[in-house]
Amino acid sequence: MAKKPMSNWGTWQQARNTLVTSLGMNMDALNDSALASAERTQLGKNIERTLADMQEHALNGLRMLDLEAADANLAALITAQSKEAKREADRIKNATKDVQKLTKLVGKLTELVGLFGGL
Amino acid sequence: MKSCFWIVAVAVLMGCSAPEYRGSVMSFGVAADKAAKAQSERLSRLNERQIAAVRGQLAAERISLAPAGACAALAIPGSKVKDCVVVRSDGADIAQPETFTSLAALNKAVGAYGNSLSLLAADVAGDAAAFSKSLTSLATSVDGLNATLDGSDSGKTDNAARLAAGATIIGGLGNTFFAGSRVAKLKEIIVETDPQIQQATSLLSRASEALLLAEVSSAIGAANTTRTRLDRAILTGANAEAVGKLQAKLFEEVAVVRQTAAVRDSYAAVGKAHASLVEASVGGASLDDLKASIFELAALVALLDAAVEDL
Repeated sequence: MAKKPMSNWGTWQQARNTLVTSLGMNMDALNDSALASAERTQLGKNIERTLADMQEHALNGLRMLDLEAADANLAALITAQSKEAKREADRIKNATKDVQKLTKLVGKLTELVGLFGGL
Repeated sequence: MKSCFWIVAVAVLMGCSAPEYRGSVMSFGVAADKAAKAQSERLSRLNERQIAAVRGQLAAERISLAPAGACAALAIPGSKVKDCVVVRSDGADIAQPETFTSLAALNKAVGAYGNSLSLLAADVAGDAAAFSKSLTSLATSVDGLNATLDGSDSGKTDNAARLAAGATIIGGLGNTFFAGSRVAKLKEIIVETDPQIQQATSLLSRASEALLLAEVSSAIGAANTTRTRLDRAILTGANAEAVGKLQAKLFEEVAVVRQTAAVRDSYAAVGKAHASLVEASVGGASLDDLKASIFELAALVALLDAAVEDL
């Protein structure tokens, strides 16, 4: 499945709209056709082909956007800012932890002083 | 003079830390994360449908398949696991589904960004309780140390009360600092990241459009296959029960088409919400604007939850 470059999203949308219109027309025509007619069989084939084209067009759009996402390097830039936010949140959390550590240290000092005082 | 500076600084920081601002940031964070998860799920479903299509094609063409000879080598440690695949007996390649790795990575990045902002904007009350408790414990410990150094417990209660009161005041200042520090950092990050978020949400919003085309056409395809079978059943004189079953299937499949099309383009709303946060960050949004944005995002989150469940 090769990656096909497309000019812009507007072109993609126009092509999609054409496919959607064609599908709708074929579906309406099929509903109006006689059950056992050759016309109905042909319209059924048209619908299948158009649906396959729509699938391929959707994939083409995603391929184009996947390339755009890779080229823009957006994921890396946004991830860097996420990490910055996380670091700040952690820093605040650690400020509380530092006080807790200090408390433990003072507690140990108290024990030591008490121990030497008893000697 | 120094204490005056701190009082002014604290007042400025408190002024910036309106709960509505942090509430909007948290709502945005949750919505961005949900939007990312919803699109990742849609990409994953697309991948599954591609695999099913490839396998359906192989079955329709009655292609003979077999495990590759490389699978035997896995009995020897160090062999390449990825070479053990199913191959076509006619030597042709089996089409591989596309994974759209850059879109997947971008969804992941936007989701993580939303999560990190939520974390940073989280309720300051949590910090307040933890910090005050830590300081009170520290004050009591220091008091205990003092009493031990003095060699007596006299005045310990008075000292403890005094130190605990002092700790509460310091704790309060610490919390004010936390609130201000969080808001200042949030504003900095939101303003700095906005160009990338706008580009990303625009791109992912277009991806949602392409996914919708794939999803709706796939759902119509299923209904059309049932329609063909229903035509055949009627033409061949199948009994009413068989015809009824196919008709019921068709009703269900058309309902799925409608459901599929109801998936909202959440990324457009996420981009808009981030732009509102930028406005609020530089002082251009009122409290009412921020409250409205919280409600809007909460509604979006509820819709996303429902959409993901329907997928």
